[in-house]
Amino acid sequence: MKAVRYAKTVTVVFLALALLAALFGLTACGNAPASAVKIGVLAPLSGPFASGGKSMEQGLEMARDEINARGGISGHPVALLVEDTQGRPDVARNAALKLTGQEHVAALVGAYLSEETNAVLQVAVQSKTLLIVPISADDALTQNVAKDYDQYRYLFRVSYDIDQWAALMGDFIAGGLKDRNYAFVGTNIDWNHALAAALAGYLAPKGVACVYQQYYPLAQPAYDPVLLALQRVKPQVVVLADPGGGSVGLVKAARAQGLVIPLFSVGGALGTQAVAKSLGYGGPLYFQAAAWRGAAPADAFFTSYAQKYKSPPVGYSDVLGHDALTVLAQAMNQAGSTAPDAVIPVLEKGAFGGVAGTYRFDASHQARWGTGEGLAGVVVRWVNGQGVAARWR
Amino acid sequence: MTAQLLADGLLTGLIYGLTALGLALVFGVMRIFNLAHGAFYALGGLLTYTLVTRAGLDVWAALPVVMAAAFALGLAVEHTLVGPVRGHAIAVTVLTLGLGVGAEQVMQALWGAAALSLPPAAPVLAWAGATLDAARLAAGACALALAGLTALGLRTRLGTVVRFTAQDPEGAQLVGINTDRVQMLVFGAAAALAGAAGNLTATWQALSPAMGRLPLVVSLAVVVVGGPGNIPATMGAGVFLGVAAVLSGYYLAPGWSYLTPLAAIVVSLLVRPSGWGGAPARRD
Amino acid sequence: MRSFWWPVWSILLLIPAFVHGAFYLNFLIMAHIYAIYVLGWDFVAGVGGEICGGQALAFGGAAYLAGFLGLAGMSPPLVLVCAPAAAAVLGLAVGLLGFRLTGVPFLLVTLVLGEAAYETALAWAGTGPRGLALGGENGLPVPGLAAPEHAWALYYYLTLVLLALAVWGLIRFKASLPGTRMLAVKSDPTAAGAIGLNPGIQRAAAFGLGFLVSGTAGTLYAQFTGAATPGALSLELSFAAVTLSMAGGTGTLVGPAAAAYALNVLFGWLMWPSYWNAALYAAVVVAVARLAPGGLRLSARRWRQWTCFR
Repeated sequence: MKAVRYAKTVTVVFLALALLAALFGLTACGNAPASAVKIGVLAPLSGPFASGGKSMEQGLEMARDEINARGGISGHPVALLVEDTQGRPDVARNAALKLTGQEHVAALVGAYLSEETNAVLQVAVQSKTLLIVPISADDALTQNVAKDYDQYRYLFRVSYDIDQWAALMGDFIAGGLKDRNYAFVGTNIDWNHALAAALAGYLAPKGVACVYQQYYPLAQPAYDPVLLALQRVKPQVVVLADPGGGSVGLVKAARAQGLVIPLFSVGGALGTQAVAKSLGYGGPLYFQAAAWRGAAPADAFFTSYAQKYKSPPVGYSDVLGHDALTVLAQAMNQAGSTAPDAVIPVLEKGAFGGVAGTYRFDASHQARWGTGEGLAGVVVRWVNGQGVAARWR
Repeated sequence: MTAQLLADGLLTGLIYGLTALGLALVFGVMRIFNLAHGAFYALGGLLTYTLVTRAGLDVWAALPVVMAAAFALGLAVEHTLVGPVRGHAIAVTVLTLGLGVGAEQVMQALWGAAALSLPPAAPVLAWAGATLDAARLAAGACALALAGLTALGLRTRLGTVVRFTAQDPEGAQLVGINTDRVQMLVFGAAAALAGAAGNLTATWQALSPAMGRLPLVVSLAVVVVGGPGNIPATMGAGVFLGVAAVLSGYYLAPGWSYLTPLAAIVVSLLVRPSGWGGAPARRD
Repeated sequence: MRSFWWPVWSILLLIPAFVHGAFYLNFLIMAHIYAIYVLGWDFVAGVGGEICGGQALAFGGAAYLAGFLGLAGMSPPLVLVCAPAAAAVLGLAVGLLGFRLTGVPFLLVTLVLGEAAYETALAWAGTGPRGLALGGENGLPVPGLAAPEHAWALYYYLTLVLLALAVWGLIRFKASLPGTRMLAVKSDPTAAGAIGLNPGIQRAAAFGLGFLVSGTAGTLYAQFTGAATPGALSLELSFAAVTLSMAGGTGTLVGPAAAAYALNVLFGWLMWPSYWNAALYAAVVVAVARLAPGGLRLSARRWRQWTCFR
C-alpha cells in the first residue's frame, strides 16, 4: 500500500538522519576543556523574546571573560553552555534536562520568562543543581524556597521580583516625581496584573492613587481608546507596562494626539536607544533599569559592552545576566568548591559585588532590591536621545 | 471626543481598506486567499526602514521603491509556486500560509526580532476638536488615491481583460487571453499594494517581522465582509471595520479591537459567505 | 506490511531499557504525544474530508480542561478519561459548522476560532485555591499521574501504548462500516446524500473522533509537563498538524504519525533555534502543496460556486 511504503521511507530517512545527528552531536559537543567549570545558560535566542535573551547572553559572556581574566573559579576557566529556550516552557525543560543530565553542568543560569523558569526549576530541583535566576520576576519562584526549603534551596534570584519592581517604580513616582496620582496602562498579561496590584498596594499607603487602569491585547490595532481616556482623566504620570513593540505605537499615537503626560516605562523596546531616538514624544519619557552609567562599576561595564557589541546595553537583561554569573563565581571561589551544598550557605550569608551594586539574599534567596539596600536600581530619562539617570535625592 | 474617535476610526479604516485591497483583488480574480499577504506588508515596512536608515531616503521616496520590489517578488512567487497549483484551492491556501510563516523567519534572520522604529515624518494638526497626525492623514489620502487608481485601472483595456479573466477564466482563454500572465500580474499588483500599506504605516508603529500578522487577519475580515473583488465595497468594509474596532475598543474594552475582526470573519462566513457588498453569488 | 512494523514497535518498546537519560526519554515521550495529536488531525482531513485550521483547539482545550478538573479535585487517571471526552464534544460542535461551511471558509473559520481561543486563554486570569494566580501566560497547573522525574518509564509506556491504540483504532475504524460512511461522504457528498447519509452529521462525527484523539494528546501533554499554557492553543501548533500530516501523506494515518514522531525526536535532540524549525515546517508545507496539491483537493467548480466577481 502506498501509504505504508511512504511511512516506511519516512522511518528509514529518519533513522539515517538520527545517525548523522548522533555523529554530529558527538563531535560538536566536546567544546569545553576538560577542566573547565561548566555553567549552563538558558535564554530565548529565537522567537519573540530573542532580543532580551540575546542581551542576557552577551552580559553573561562579558562576565565570563572578566572571571577568566581573574583566574576563573578556583583556578579553572568558566565555560558557558548556552541553550535556546525559544520562549517556550517545554523547550526550556528539554534544554535544562540536556544541560543537567548530559552535560552535568555545575550550575544553571536562566531562564527569561517566568513560565520558562518554572519548568527549569523542577529540573534543577530534581537534579540538585544550583539555579541562578537573572530575569524572571514571578513572586512564586522564591516563595517556593520559603515553603519547602529542603527541596528548593538551589534557587537564587538576582533580579527584582514583582513586589520589588513595584517598590522601585513606586519610590520614583512618589519620591522622585512627587506625584499624587498615576495611571497604569499595559498589555493584558498576568505579569502586568501582578505589577499593577503590587504598585497599588505600595503606593496607596503613601497617598498616591491609581486613577486609571487599562490593559490592551498584545496585538492591538488602535490605542485611541486608551489615549482618549488618558486625556479625559489627566493623570500626573502614566506607568507603561509594555516591553514590546506595542509601546512604540502607543507613544507615537500619544505624540500624534498632542499628549505630554510623563511616561514611565518598564523598559524593553522603550529602553533601547535606537527606538527612543525615533519617538519624538513631547513629554518626559522614563524607564526603570537595573543599572546605568554614572557609578564606577556600571561605567566600565557600559563602555566595554558598547565596544564589544557595537551597541549600548539596555541596563536590565545584560546587567543582570552579567551579575548572575559574577555573583555565582564569587560565591564558588569563597566556598572553594562548586558543590551546591558548599555554595548555598556562602550565597545565603555573603555580600557580592556586581555592576548594579552589592548583592545580598534574603531568607527566600531573593536579592535585596530597594532604596537603601545595596541594589537600588536606576530610573533613566531619555534626553535628546541619550539616557540620563534621573536623580532625585 | 466623538470627533476624535470617528476621525481615528476613519483613518484606521482607510488603511485597513488599502491593506485589504490586494487581498480582495487576488481573491476576486484568482479566487484564492493569499495567506502570505501579511508577509508582503511586513516586507514593505522593514524595507522602508532599511531604505530610510541605510540609504538615507525619505519615507515617501521609499514608497515607489518598496512597491516595485514587492511587485517583482509577487510576480516571482506567483510564477513559481502559486500559479502551478492555482486550481487546488486548499493547496494554495496551505501553501501561502507556509510561505507567510517561512517569510517571517527569513525576515527575522535579516532584520532581527527586536522592534525597530522610524522617526515621525510629519507634524501634528488640529481640526474640529480632533488632533491628527499629518502622516496618518496623508496615508489615508494615499489609500484613497491607490484605491481610486485601482478602480480606474480596472476600467482600462488591461483592466477589462483582468475582469474578464476573473469572471470566466475558460472563456478568457478561449478568446486568446493569457490568463496565466494576467493572474501573475494581479498577484504582483496585490503584493505591491500590501507593500505600500506597510510603507505608509511605517512611521507610527514598531516594525518587526511579525508585524504582518494582524494586518492579515484584518484584511481577511475586510474581504470576507466586503465580498470579493468589489473595490468600493472593500474600502467601505475597511472603514466599517476600522470604526467598529475603535468604537468597540473605547466603549467596551481595548481587547475588543482585536476580537472585532476575528468575530467579523466568523459571523460573515457563517451568515453570508459571499460577503455583504453586493448580490449573492449565482449557483451553477 | 506487518513484518515491517513489528520490529519498529519492538524497538520502541525496548528503548527505555537501553536509553536512560531523562533528556532522551523526555523528547521521546513528547514525540509520542505529538504523533497522537497529528493522528487526530489526519483523521479529520483524511476520513472526514475537512481541513481544520485550528486543531490546537482540541489539544489546548483538553489541556486547559485537565487543569480545571485537576483544580476541582478530580484524580489524574479520571481526568485522562474525561478531558479527551470533553474534547470530543467540542469536536462535534466544531464539526457542526460543517453543515454551513466547507473547504477554505471552513479552514479560515477554524483557524480564527483557534486564534480567538488563544487570545482568550492569554487574557483570562483568575485566582485558584490558596490564592494561586491562574491563567495568563503561565496557564494552569495540572497534576500528573506521577511527577515525571520519578516515572519516566510510566509516561513512556503510557504514551506509547496510547499511540499504538490510536493508530490501530483509527485504521480499523477507517475500514469499518461507520468509517466507510464517512469516506463516502468525503468523496461525494451528493451521492452519499442520495443513499441516505447526512454529510453534516458524518463530518461532525469525524471531527468528534479526531478531536478525541488530539484531545488525548493534549491531556497527556498537560499532565506530563505539569501545566496547560496558551502555547497549547497557538497557531504554530495548528499549523504543525497540517504540515506534519502533509509531510507524512494526508489520510494515511501511519505516515503522519511517523513524520510527527521523527521530526519531534529530531528537533528535541538537536535543539535547533526556533527559526530553523519554523522555516523547515514552512518549506515542507510549501514543497508538498506545490508538488502534490491533489492530496488536498477542493474541486475548482465547487469553489467558484462560492464566489462571483462583479
